[in-house]
Amino acid sequence: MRDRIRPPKDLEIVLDELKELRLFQTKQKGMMFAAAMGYTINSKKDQHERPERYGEGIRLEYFQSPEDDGYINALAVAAHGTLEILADDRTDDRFDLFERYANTGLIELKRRLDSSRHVDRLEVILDILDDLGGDSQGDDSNDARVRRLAGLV
Amino acid sequence: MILRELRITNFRQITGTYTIRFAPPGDHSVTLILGENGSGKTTFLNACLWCLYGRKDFENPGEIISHKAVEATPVGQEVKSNVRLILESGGQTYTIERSAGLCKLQDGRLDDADTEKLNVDVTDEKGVTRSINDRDPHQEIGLLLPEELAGFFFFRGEDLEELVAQAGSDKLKGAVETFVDLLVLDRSIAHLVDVERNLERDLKEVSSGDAKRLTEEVEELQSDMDSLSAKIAEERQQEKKILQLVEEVEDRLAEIEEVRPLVEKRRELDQKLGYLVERIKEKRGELADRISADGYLHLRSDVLSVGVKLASEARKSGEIPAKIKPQFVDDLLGIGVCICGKSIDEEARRSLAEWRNTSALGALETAITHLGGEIAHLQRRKDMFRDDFDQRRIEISELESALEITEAERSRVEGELRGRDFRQESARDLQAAKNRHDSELHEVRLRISRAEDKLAQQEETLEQRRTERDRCAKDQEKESRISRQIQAATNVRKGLQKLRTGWVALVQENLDHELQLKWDEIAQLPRRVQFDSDFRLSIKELGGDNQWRPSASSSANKRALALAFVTSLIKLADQAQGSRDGKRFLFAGGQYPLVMDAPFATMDSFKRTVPVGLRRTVPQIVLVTNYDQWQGEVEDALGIAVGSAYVLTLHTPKETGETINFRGIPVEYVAAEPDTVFDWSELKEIMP
Repeated sequence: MRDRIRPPKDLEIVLDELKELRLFQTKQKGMMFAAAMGYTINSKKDQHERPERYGEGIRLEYFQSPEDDGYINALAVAAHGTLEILADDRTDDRFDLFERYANTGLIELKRRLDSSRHVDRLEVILDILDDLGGDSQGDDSNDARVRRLAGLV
Repeated sequence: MILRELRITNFRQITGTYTIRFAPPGDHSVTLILGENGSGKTTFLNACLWCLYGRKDFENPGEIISHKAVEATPVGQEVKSNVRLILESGGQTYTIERSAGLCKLQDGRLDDADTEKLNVDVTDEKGVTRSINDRDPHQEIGLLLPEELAGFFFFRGEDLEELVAQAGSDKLKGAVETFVDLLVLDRSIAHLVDVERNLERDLKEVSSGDAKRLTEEVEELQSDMDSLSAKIAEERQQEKKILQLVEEVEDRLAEIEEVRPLVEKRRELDQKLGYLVERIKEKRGELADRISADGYLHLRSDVLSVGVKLASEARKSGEIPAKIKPQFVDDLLGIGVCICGKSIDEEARRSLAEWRNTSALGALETAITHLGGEIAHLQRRKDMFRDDFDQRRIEISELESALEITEAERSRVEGELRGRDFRQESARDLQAAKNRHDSELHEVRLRISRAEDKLAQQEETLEQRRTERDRCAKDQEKESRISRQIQAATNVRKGLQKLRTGWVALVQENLDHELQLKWDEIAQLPRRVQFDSDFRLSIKELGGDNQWRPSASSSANKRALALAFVTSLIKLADQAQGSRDGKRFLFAGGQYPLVMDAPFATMDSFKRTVPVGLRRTVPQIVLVTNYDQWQGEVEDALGIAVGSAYVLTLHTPKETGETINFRGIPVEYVAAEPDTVFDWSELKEIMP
């Protein structure tokens, strides 16, 4: 069973740049954003390619300590549409899905960074959050559903 | 570095030979030297700097030897000035002695031969002494305390204000970098640059075809980049010079009645602009941190809702919680015997297997429950993020609006200053000079920005050319080997450069943090003090609108800030020494003294708190002051810690005599000496 999540080798440079600019405090945080972005752009799992080469893996502890590992599981369930993906022996599948969505997210992130007119990279991230962020309005919104079903309201 | 002893002979006003034994670190670590103005208090400081570095930062630097001593020396004989400083560092004792001897000529003058001599001896822990004059003694002293850092530890009160004024300059940055031992790293980086260049030359010689062409291109690019970097450095110097000119003109303009209100208004607006820019930067940094932590949850998706929806459906359909644990059924099927002892027949086996196939989720019950908890937690974070995100963006937008309004106001005031026809010619000329400098500044900044862009492009091209060349050289053994060596040297250099940048940032952050602690301890005033990433020092106070604004640039504020900064440096050095566990990593650290001449003169509001704070932080203090400044609050704060005390008795033909009282004992402070031609001083120990 794997204990690391690997960014795509050719796009590690994007994570490094964002980390150096202090837009993401760690590469792990950059991966979280990229994976969520990948899913938001296209939730269908089959349409997300695996990278040709992988970069240096990030240990799972780095996802666990900021309590982000739950998102990897939630993403896998949402992508698969079943809870069976939570089985212990399918950890590698969950990591693989996360890496594929992150790969898509990083490709899009790089495209936006390269083509942006903003010199300040934070503006690029803010544009992404404006374009892809928020939730549909009304009682049936995903957020409202989670709050209701998770007993938060 | 801890001071042990200073012996002075015939140096400036100090006539005769005197020895000061410094109070060592501990409860009584203060050495006090009292002296009337003109008695040679600053001479004492100058003696230390002359001994260490041969520095003569005083009026008439040719007159080192005491006039009185010269007067008393017969014609044709040599008269000597000598300063010997004994100090400890890294378990060794250093005896540094500098002397100058000159022959007295027939007309009473001294010959002008350069006879300064420096002698440095080192005594190790076993008591073995050896001279290090065969090595470069100046360099040895530089290793103990680099000259550019001496101003941090040996200073006059007014130098402290200079230190704050220097903040942000390359000089202060360079001094801090020297203090934290970055020289070794810098030398390694410079060496690796040479190695890379030499290897590039080797490669050019052995390569052919495309590889050779690319190597030549790399060489050319490197040379262009060197010229461009040198040009940028020159332009930066030019920018600093112009900025200084602008400041000077502004100061002079502010002195003219007619212009003053507008100049002051512009300064006030500049200050506000600086404050707003800094606040926006700070708020944007906070926003970036927030996005880094939870921004991914804000992206629109059903990631959280699908999980809870599926879990809820599984509960509704009765799949979970499982009434019988699937593992139990698996065990029954495996063993083939019921818990009652009866064997499981074919029919029972079939229905158990069927049940098992429809209850797969039962085995995942714990994981599903856990996921539910995780999603609830993520949703809470998502909700909090949304509120925070909106709030922070509103704050930034408000600050940006305020910035826009202030910029417009500033430009209106600037326009008024530029356009107004001042009655006074001097004001007109100064304003014209200011306009000229402003456009020069604009031009130079534009050139810097263009050159930096070009440099970045060249760096990118260089990388590309190297990659292409490496590809070409791949099949040639010799070329490939040199290419790999270049790559290795480049990687190590880049790593070291990264380490250097990181280390400087770490030191700056540490000093910034420590500065606030020290300020709170020594100034005890609610102010926000900062040592920012540009190495600038600043003090801010809370305004009526609950916002931090720059405090008045008073002498007291500047001195307290400089002392807080110096003590932060001392603390950093002390911590570095304490934490290295015998292993040297970049910065060895150590203990450092403070030798201060009249530091508290204009520090009325801090006169008690600052000395108390210094006493707590600094391992060894040498305080040179006049009696008036010592008496009262400073004495109350430091008196208890005095371990040794001296008075510089001034002998003068001008004054009437004066006696002071030190711990109940009368001490001669000024000696009236009507027959003497020159003022001179003698040093006496007064510690009871």
